[in-house]
Amino acid sequence: MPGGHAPIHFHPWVWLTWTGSTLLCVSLTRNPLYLVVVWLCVAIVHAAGGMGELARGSAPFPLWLSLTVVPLGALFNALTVHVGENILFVIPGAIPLLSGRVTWEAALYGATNGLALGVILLVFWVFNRNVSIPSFLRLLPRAFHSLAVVGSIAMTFVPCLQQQYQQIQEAQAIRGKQLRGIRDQLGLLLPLLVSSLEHAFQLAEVMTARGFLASLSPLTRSNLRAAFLGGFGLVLGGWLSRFWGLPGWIASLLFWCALALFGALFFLAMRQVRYTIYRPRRFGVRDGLAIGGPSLLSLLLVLNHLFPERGLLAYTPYPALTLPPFEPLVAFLLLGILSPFLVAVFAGHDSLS
Amino acid sequence: MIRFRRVSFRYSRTEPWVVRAANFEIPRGSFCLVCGASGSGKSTLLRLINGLVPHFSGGVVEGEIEVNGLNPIQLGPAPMSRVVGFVFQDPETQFILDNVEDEIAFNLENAAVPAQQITYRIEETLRGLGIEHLQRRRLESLSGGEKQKVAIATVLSLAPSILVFDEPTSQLDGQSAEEILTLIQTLARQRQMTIVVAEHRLDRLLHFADRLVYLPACGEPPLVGEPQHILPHIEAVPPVVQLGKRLGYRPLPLSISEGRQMLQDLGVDQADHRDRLLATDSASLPSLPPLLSAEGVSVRYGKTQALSEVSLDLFPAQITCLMGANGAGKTTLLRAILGLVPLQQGQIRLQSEDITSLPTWRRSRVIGYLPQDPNALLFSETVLEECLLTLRNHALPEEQGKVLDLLSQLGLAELVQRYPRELSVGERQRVALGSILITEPRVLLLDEPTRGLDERAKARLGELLRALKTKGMAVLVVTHDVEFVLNLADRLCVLKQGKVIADGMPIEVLRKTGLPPPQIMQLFPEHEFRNVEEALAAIGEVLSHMPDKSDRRAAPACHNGDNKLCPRESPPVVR
Repeated sequence: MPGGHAPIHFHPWVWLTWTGSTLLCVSLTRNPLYLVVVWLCVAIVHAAGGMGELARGSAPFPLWLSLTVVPLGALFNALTVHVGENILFVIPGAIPLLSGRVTWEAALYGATNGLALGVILLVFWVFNRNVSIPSFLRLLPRAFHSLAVVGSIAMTFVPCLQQQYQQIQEAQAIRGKQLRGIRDQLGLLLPLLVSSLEHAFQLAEVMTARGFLASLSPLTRSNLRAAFLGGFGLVLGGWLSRFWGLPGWIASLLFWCALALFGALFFLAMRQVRYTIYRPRRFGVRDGLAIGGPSLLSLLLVLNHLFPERGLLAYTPYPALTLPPFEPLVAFLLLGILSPFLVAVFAGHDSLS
Repeated sequence: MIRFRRVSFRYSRTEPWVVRAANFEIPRGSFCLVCGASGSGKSTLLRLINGLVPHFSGGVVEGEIEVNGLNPIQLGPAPMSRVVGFVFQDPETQFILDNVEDEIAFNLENAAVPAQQITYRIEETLRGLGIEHLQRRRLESLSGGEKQKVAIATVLSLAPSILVFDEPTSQLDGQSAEEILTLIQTLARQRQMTIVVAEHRLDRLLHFADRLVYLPACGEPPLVGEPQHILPHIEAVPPVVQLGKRLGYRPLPLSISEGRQMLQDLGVDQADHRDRLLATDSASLPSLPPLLSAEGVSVRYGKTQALSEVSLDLFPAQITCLMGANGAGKTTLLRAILGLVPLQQGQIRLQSEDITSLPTWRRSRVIGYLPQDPNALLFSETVLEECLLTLRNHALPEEQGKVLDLLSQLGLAELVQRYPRELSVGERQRVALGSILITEPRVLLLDEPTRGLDERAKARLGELLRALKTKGMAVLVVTHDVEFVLNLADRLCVLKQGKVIADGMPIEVLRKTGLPPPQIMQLFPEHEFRNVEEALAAIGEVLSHMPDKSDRRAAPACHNGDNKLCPRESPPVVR
């Protein structure tokens, strides 16, 4: 930013924790007031990270995109879920899925779901921009080769998709196609999908040819597969024991055994994978401070778990519309999402990167 | 050492063999060139060396492969990456990260090279390739040649004993290609590395190779041996070799210097042909008004001035070729003509009408544009539907008969119901061409149309463009292929750093600009022969008195039906 200090770079673990805890919060609440707080916090972090983009007018795009989902969610839910006491209007006839009462409750619940989806989009956008591809690759659990390759493809998917979209738009224009509305845009989907899959295939091939995770021995791979199957068997056993009405402690034991097996083998497999990290990023004081925010969110989740009767995050507009509860403590803990932004500001930096 | 023993491969049990009965050795330290028509199995053969085939592609392998004592079929590509460095056709697809240093470190990290050594290895590799100044650069800011060198650096950093390249020069201008190939050869000599290169452009590589693997067609056993012994069996060879073949000279010349030696031996270079000029050249520049004009066009990408006040006229019934180094602005000029990039200044006129403000989709009705990658234009389920789609887009009558006629002219009559993306490179290109020619545009722009094409497909494209020219179309071809230019172009323009530096008769322009000349021009610098036929016709008198060279014949090919390796001494060709 002109006149400001260089952007602050946080450790990838900060962004991973930030992303994970924010997503967890979003998945646990359907209280529209809290979701608005979360959206605002994420939007501030997003804007702080893209001052240059803001100046060029490209930073608002993900914000608009995340908000576009809200009316779409409201519309879809209102038209397809006919529950609630406050009726807006009635769709007559016997049209499958659509006919019936259209209620305020369903619309609000749909809008809330849309907002949650919008926040998720925005969170991933922020993560994608702040964590470089090399940093992301280093975060991936290398004991799981396929997962790591898929993760890498996912990470490069958005920039690649943007590039492919532009190329296909151009190709359509070259073929005389005038792209006017949504219907024309929909025509781009199939070529976009085909070219994205081709890119994903190429990337996976290149990573393999360049020795990605070459040090994982076939024995480790088969052990991992066996462990996964074993763990899955234990989970299945636990579920079946509940199904057959056996004492609850048997199921719990099997589930905990499965968890321990997964954990132990993951640890051992990770130790067997040999790789080095070139210029590893040190975890500094600022990173520690920035990770404090996600810790606040964790506290909120713990409180929510410990006092289920308080229903800290719970809200449903059904059957009749009520005002969502608003606990100042919850809102305060949610402000933890702002931590990367706050640390940057207090450290004298204008923007994040 | 790479050893193939009776190796056959197909992608599934129900499909035909792609590689069949491959039975050869590539000794350590060789520079081996793999050639053959499009779809003959070159890429598959290369991928068998590092195990990408069948580990990544699936498929059925028969026979044994041994690479430095390892079996890639058993080990798979990831462990083989320590021994075999694989450089893909398009370096951009090879890059995973965003800057040069991280890109090279990626391989070293995965090979668990100690962190302290990584810095040293990166610097050493970059120094070895003469690109240490690129260490901190972002990959997107590099030129085509620089990207190719970085791609080589990524695999070289692991010090593999074998380097495999899939068409490494297909996107490079002549100078960059020569630079890269010289570099590869130097590496091979210095480090005793084995180099395996698949390439269509034999003219660029033949003089580097000491071993040739020729794949006659998909599923046919390869011919393997020293170039002199294999080349007589190959139909499409570079002009210098073709001349040697036609003159019956043995051993066949592989390079210009060997070609000159051949002419000297035959006494041909002394022939007096200096007055012979090609009538077609002097008559080809028309006096008609231009069909399309770019007037003072400037284009800027951020801080880079891609085009500076470029003016270019395209005339009806004329083929103009546009050459220049990578990054000179050739593609940008085509895109500017079509309205795909905004002009900083200048105008585009079609006849006298200013079309600068017209959107691309409207310009495309009269200006056809074939981009570098024909795949970009293919959207439909069938070849027929692909052409009908264009008619629909332009709200033109969907006359199936007209489409079938065009596809027939393009040699696609048998493929009308096929899925376009499944076809060979040449066929896909013709489908893409069909999809833009169906509107009968008056101007045709082609960006690197010979990229990835074998000689036969290239010749077919040349014929097609000549046919379009006779119909009055103005054709502009961007290419690095000087042989193609010399055979096809009525006029040649050269761009350098966004400016037109030469425009005129191809031979004159090639002489003036210092572009790498075609082989035939290098052999006969004082004449104006465009191809072997013209050279042979002109020196026919000398040929009739040519001394008999029957004592210097090529060794016969080894067609050992039992698929055993031929002894290297005699016969030298292995099938």
